[in-house]
Amino acid sequence: MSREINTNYLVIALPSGKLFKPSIRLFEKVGIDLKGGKEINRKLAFFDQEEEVKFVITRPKDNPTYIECGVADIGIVGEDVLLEEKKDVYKLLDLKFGKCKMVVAAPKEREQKKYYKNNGHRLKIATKYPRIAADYFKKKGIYVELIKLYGSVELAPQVGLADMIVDIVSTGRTLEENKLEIINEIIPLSAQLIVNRISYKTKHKRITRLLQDIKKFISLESDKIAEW
Amino acid sequence: MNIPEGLNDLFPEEVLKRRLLENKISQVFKEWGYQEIITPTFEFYDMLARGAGSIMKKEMIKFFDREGNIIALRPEMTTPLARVTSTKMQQEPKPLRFYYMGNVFRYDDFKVGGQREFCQAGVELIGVNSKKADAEVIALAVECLKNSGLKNFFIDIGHINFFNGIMQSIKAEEKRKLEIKEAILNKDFVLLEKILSFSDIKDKEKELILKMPTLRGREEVLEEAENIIFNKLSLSALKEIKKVYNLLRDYGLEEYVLIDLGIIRDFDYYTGIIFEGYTDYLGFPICGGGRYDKLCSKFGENLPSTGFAAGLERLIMALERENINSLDLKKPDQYLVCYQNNKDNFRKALKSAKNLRKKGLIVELEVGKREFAEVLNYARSKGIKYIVIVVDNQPNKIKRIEVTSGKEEMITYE
Repeated sequence: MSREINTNYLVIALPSGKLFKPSIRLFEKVGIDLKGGKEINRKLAFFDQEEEVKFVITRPKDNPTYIECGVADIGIVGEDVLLEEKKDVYKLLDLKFGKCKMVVAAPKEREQKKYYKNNGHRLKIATKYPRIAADYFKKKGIYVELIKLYGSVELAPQVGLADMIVDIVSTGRTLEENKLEIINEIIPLSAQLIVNRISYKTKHKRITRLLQDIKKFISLESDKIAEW
Repeated sequence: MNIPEGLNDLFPEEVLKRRLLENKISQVFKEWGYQEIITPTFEFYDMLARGAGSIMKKEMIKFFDREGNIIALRPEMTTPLARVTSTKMQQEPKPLRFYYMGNVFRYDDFKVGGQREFCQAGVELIGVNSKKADAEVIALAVECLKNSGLKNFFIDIGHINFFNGIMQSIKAEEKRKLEIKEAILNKDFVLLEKILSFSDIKDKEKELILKMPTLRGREEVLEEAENIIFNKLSLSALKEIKKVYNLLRDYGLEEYVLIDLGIIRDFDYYTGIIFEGYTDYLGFPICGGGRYDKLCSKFGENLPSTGFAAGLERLIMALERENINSLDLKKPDQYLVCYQNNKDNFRKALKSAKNLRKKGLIVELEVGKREFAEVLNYARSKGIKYIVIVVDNQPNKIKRIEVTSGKEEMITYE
């Protein structure tokens, strides 16, 4: 259980996956040299000596866990992960990239699609996000059966596993390819910057400075960032 | 052959560390005049719920007894102690000083590690409402962490009414206020900023609310806050913090204490000064506490009180990250006594074991019929330092073999 402790370093956890590249771009824009992420890609930890920043790469869903435990000070994570797994971390900044939305989608040929009715039997919803889906339908007062899947959710209605799905949509192409259409938007999502509850106190000068740089950059270039 | 999720079996090495830490901490508590008290592991849910907020009520582990009453495992120790002192000690002279060391239980599933049973050590100073009482409990928390061997830590002190005052003074609908409060409790500052931007709140106050978690430091923090805050409740909270801070200076503890206006504790029973302990080695607090003046009245007695609890598992984690050897025990040498099998030798073995134990050494006696090679292997893997062999024809002497080197010598055992 030993770990390298250097309180001088600011440890930033980057998520692998589709938020990885825009995250690297963001830090380079505020003056932390990551060499385009080429080196970082091969190793799991990477130092920028000059800025005294250490980067670690995590699986996207694990990112908040690293922050909650305090092995990293700052993390970047998709809002979907935070909504699905409540973690005790500060959510400090909407980074405005990685934009997508959580939606309910159903097969195009489905009749009465707006009414969530299914000839008397209970509606089945396939999703990777059972908590978000459960909260949503509970609020609407609709009684559903949730089927937790780990991927390829859009397949479920085609093979009769579920009537509808709750999933993330960014371009909508996957839905189109699977003859699904959005019938309700649950919540818009984007990448979020999170901070450990104690680091935000103990390293708050550095974190605040970094946050201000990022905020400034985002407000200047918000249109461009949305395309990242 | 499993145990339920979130529970642990502690192995001997872990138990040694735990007990060592428990001793170090309880020694400090005793020196400060606190007496140990033990309450039941489970109680009526209704009693425990009197000290619990809505989250804690959900996190309690509950079941039914034979009469159909709802029983819960205690999720913390302050409420049971408030019950005991309010219902069974009305006649005792106040203040009461109690300490406890025991396991508490929660469905803490979203927290790190998802542990459902953990050990808390803490104190309650019951029946007095004074800044000196607040300062004593905080000073004791510092002393307890220091004595545990931890070097790098801070106790942050704040006040529940700093935040309450701001919330009261804000001119907004109750519904909006609740949203603001919830966003702060959830640490969701993205949402908070959004809500505040829609609200009719002065810019200075908005800025203050958003800055709250970072309002931490020495006295200058109080001055900074005094310049922005105008409501009475928050200002009197700042005054109280200042008084307690100055008392802690008298204790000579200023290097360990910081003022932190951003502390919001999870429990609903706090009414005054609150505090939390942090180290650089953990991403969550190691201890926390504060003043709770209304809890005992829920059990029928008006007893203003203050106290704190430290999580022993967390403290062990912090200690080992700071210095891996900080909880290593200096154990006495371990002996294994063997003998050639006859009644005479057995008696001799018993006698020599007794004598070695008297010297403070740890002695186990061979109870099987193992060959020497097997015994040697066993001793090696168990970290036994010496094997002693009782031999015939040597009246007062035994053969002592050092396990690592194989060095033999004859020693007298009388």
